[in-house]
Amino acid sequence: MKLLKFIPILLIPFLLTGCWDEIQIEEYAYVSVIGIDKGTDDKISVTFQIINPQIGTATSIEANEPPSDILTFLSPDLVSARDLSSISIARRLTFSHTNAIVVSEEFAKTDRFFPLLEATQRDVDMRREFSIIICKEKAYEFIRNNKPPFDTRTSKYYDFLTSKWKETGLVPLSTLHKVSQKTLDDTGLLLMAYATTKKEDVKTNFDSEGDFIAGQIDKTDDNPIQMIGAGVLKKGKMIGVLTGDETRLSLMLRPHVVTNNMLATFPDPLAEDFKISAKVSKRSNKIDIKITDDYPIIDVTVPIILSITAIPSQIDYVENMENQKTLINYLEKRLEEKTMKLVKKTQKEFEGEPFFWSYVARQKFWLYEDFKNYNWMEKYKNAKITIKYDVKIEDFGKHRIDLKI
Amino acid sequence: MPTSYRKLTKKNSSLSPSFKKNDQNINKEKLTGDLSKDLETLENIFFSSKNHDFIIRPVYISALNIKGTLVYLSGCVCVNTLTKDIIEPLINTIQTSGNDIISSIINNIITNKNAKKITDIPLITKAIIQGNTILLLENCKEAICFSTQEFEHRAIEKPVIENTIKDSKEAFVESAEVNRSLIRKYLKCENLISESIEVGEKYKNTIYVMYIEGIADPDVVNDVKNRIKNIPFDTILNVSLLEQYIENRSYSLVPTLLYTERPDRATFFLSEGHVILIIDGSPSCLIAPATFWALFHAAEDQYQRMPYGNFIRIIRLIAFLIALLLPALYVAITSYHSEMIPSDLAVSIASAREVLPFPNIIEVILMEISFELIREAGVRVPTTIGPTIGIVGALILGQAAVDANIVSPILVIIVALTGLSSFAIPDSSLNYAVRMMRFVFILVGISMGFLGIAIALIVSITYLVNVTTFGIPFLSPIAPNYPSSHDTFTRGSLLKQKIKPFNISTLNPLKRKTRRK
Repeated sequence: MKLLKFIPILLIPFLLTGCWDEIQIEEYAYVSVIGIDKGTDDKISVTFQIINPQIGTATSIEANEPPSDILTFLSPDLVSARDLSSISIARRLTFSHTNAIVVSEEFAKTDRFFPLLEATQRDVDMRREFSIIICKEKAYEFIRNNKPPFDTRTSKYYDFLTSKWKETGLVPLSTLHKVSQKTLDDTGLLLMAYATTKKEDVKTNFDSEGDFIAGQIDKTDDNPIQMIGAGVLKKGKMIGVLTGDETRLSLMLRPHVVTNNMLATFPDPLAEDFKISAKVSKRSNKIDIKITDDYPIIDVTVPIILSITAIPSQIDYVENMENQKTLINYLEKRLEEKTMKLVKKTQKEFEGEPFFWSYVARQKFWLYEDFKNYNWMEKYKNAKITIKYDVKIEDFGKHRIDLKI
Repeated sequence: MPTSYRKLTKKNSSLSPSFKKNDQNINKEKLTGDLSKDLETLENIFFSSKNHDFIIRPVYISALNIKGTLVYLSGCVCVNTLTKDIIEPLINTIQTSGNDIISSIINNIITNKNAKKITDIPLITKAIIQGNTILLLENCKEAICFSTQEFEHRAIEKPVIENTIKDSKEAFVESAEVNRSLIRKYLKCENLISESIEVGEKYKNTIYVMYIEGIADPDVVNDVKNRIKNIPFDTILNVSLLEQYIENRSYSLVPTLLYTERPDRATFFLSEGHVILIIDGSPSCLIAPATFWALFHAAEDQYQRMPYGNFIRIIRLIAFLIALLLPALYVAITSYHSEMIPSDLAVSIASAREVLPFPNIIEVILMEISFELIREAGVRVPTTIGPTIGIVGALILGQAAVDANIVSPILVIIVALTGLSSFAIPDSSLNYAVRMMRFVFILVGISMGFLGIAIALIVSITYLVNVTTFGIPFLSPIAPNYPSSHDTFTRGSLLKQKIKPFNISTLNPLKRKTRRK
């Protein structure tokens, strides 16, 4: 009897909840990449790259099928496009394993880009950790042109590609989460990874390895993709492009260390034709901001530690302290010049800063209201900025002295 | 079926009066002093005309010049003791002093280790059953009972279930005497009590209750003894049955007594204040009370050095969780939470499941039942055809089922891992509990996903906290918390294990001298 009384209680949870959300894992179609283009009128053109699960997994089922299916169609918005896709895809589309959203530059420059992006966050299927990539051409072209030779599954490819930002700093980290976080307070510029599959304005006379924006590199490869530089967004709208070097510098100017151990080259101060390569790592910046009513005064010191990896000119920097001093002075000056150029560009051209200095400036105010009323973005245009680099050479690599031939 | 059942009971009821009659005849009867009459009474009791084992051996005690008769049951007595220590001295001794016949025999003639006077017929009957030899004397209202008990049993062997790499390789055998001697070997202590309690209405069986006076909590000892005394059944053959008579909750999946075959382990529990139950005929003992930790630990944990011991405990904890939850998590993930796993895994599970005919729940239950089948068959199968099980199991479940597209290869990994993990749970009762709960978790996993598994886990833990074993909370000393040496999920170094767990007993809690008083 006791057991009989207990049975209804056991059954209640089954009545209250149930298996209505249940959907078997194989009934889904996994979208790896989403492309967004400007459509006609107020529509958007959505591209889905859907993974074919049978390709690239070690199952005994032999399938002579393409690794993915790409479809493009017009839709009023991104989430409803998932249902619209059922016109041809038999499975239920899911964005839960999406790795990247590719947005065409054309669409990113419209007002509708950010609202669209933000709206998708309400959908349970959307992950906040996928990367947002701005591409120069149409997104559907970009997705179709991208044929990674090693990664059968494109989601993996985008995953690897964007995760390299931390080592190289040539592209910024731009996940949906970061984007919505930074856009919230609307006090600076936002950087997003910039890529293309089309070679244009090929640059052969470049200053250093990062002096490109995507498309300018003369590269021979079956896969035409190039991802370097950053799209600059202001108030959710794209307003310009930074080169790889500029992206690196702006990441270096941020209050916290975001990239470390990136490899960089610079001209040899004592031998014009040669370059020196080094591994650059960095400590936290000292950012000193004084607020005046008309403009802020910003003093930034960037401590940099170099680990020299190659000195092809064979000039003795190791034991000759005089030479070392020249090298350090030269580097500090060069970096300062380059950075000031970038800072001027942000002040004049973009009228905002992508360096997150607003975080430091914010601390100078008692109330967030005061900071908002101060209007940082406007005041930044006239800010007096001085930047100092503090270069230290940590070591000279494995060799102490070069072999003289 | 009902008719035959009725027949059986009828037959039984027709049998029992004669049994009772026999009982009533001998009740409270004493020896008459007439040798032939007393012998006849005993012959009646033991059905001597039919019973071949009932032996009557007349002797002439030359020293006292009287006739006597030895009575015993063959098979229960040691023939060597009987002839060397009893018959030989009785016949060969020529002279003795003393007035009293009985005491002169006991004191001067017999060399047997144990002898006492006995007068009541029921006591004589019992003594004979237990393997003693009775000497009836002519014209004497008293008899002598010699201890000649010897039952056949195995020699001491290695533990079969609870293997360890280090230390003692002895296991209990089917003799209470040997088992008690093993425990006394490990624990040389004057406070070690072994009380005997007789249970069984018709066929008396002795249960030995061992504990250390001054360490074991008297309440627990009394509780155990009372439960044993109140068992209303005819007979108790061994400790496995005893466990079911005295445990707290018969319907519960949670065991409240620990069954062990290692004397060293039993000793360890004795020294912490537990009570040990031993029965003749069981190659193991019961430890009461048994908390979750007693079931979860293995002897090896303490024998290995502290870091190694902790390592195997953590591995066992992981195994415990895998055995309990892995199939349920698989079912929940593949039905509700495909976003929770890495993309590559999701896609590879999807591709493997694409061609399968059944939904995942049927797939999982099919495989789990097959695995339990192999396991059960493996236990029951005669050892001569044992290897067949491995071949059939491995081939059918591992290879053929995947090739035939009935289950996915990932599920084979999951079932294999789950099975392997369940072997790592040392106690067989806990093992069964985990294996049965696994199916509950699978069902909740398929109906409510992670939410359901979370609810089921909370309910299970709540239940475990509520269970008591002989008045002691099952999850103590962790919940509720008691002072202890923290020998639970992990263990400290032996030097740090200063106190005995307070949840078991608070008497003499220090394991070693402390500097401070």
